[in-house]
Amino acid sequence: MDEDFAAFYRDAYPGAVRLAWLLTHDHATAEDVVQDAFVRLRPRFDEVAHRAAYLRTAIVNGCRDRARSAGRADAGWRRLRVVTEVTSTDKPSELLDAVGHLPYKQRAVLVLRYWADLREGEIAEIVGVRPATVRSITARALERLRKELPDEH
Amino acid sequence: MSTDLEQRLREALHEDAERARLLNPNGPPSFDVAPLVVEHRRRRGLRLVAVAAVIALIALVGALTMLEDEQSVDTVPVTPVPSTVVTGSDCSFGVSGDPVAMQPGPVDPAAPRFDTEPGQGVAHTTIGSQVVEVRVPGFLLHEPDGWRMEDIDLARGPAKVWLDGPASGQANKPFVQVRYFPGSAEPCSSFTVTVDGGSEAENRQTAIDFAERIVLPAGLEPGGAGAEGAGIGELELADTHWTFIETSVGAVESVMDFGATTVEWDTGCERLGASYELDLDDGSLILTNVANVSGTCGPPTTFGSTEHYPVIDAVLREGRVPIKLADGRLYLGDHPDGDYVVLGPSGPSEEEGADPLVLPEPGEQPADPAVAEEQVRAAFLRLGDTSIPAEERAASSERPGVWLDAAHAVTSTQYWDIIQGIREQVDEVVFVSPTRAAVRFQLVSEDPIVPRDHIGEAVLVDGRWRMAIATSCELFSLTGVSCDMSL
Repeated sequence: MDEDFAAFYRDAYPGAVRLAWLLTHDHATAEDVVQDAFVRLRPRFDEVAHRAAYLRTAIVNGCRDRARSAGRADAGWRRLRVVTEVTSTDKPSELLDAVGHLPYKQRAVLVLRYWADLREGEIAEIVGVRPATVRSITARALERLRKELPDEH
Repeated sequence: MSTDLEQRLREALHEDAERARLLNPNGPPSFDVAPLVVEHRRRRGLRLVAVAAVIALIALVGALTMLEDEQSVDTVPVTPVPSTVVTGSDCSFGVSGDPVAMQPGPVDPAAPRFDTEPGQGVAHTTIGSQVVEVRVPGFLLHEPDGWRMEDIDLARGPAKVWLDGPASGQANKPFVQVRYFPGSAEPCSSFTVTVDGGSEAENRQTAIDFAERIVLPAGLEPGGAGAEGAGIGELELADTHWTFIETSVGAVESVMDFGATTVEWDTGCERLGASYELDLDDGSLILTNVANVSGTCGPPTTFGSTEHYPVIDAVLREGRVPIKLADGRLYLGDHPDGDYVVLGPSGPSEEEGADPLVLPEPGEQPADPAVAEEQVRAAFLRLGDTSIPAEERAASSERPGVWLDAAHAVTSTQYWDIIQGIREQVDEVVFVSPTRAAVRFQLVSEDPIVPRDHIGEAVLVDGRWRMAIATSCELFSLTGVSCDMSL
């Protein structure tokens, strides 16, 4: 089991951290949530049928729980620091800033859809809503982005 | 096909993801036989993280439809509809305007001022030092001669004010009474509003003001004849959000969102959109240019089937859709005889930034709130106690047959062992009416994928408080199990 789990960890870890980063924009929190998720998955590793989904769900909700514990119910990201890798135009940062200001569930749905490329049913199970609600959340989140970024269509 | 925004979003997120700091960029640490050692910070309580199934309830469908003046801008500002509804008799009635705490029955049951007729709706409330008692149909005065009567005009029509009602009742106070008897054969078409506790002038004014707020039973039904305060006369749909509560073929899981001129809804497997107009004269919602917005209806995916609700397609299609508003709910289609859907307003939602765990404001209380709360708590705890056979727990559900069928199905899912390890805890109960309550509860589990905090609903059925089937079905649905509402 340990070798299997270690192999799973090696494969899944980078994506897990990136997912947690996208949801929190806090390196320490992201790492902590991910490690916590792996630790809790390990005892159930052989029982869980969809390990990747389990892990993603644990991460999505771990990030949300962290935000709530910090007293930020609609926790947006901390302000993005300017990163030298950002392209010369400001638009990517503006867009990410706008995403960071979305309510957590909207942000999570967008990340799972447009970064993780998950299907609505998968997103629904991870976020804990119905597929219809995933579509509704997506539509509202995109609408919100359009309003905040008038140049976006 | 992705829009430009979606494509840019995809690119931006992929680029941003590369900024994540990987603790072990060259590879994870090797694992020993011993469990992975990770330094944990102290955390408050259990860190529960949600799973792709098990239990995650947010929707407050029933409870949220009881939100009255406390509703957010997402809901429909329609007046007048009753903010308070008194049920429990043949003549349920409503009170429009600010919610009022109506207590069922006469002011003093031990010494009622008037005899209660069979099926008569009776309720009372206190406004400052004054006591207001409403009866539908109205109190029959068999010997009106000799009393001072005043003719008045209410908004609904002519009425009389009985100014010198004699000292009576337990408090032995005189009263003023507004008497509305339109001469209709409808059994619940009249009412009386009796007020005491103030001067005659004060009682008169209070009685008339309250009489204007009475919504008779016909006004509580969708499209009822002579509907008072119902209907879509002042309906504003722009920027409102709705949840499907029921349809002509049972419960569905869907949402409907109105913009200024466009509307989108979900059919279970895809999101459709259309332009809309309201024809207030005709009572129609006119839909044009219905088109797919997102999603695809097709064969089941790996993560459960893609539900499709043909009844939604049958009701929401190009052309005129009959629309009615009653008791805060939208009725679309041919209700009650044909294809129809019923929508309740979606309250403040987490995706909009609101705290989804905020309970609604209290409304009219049940007759004995302490007993009622005890029953609510017991029902929730019992339904969640998997150590008790499901057959014995089902009675705590609003729809025992529906619940039992779904509960059996859940035992076959991969999440059953997780569910068995959950302990339920009821934190708070808020009664929004004598027959409905919002309940905040926790699901406590050692498993990190169980979301902890929830809000559900309890309803009074056959004199006993039970968990609303909508609450149960929300929970079941996230294990992939659907409720069969036909049972």
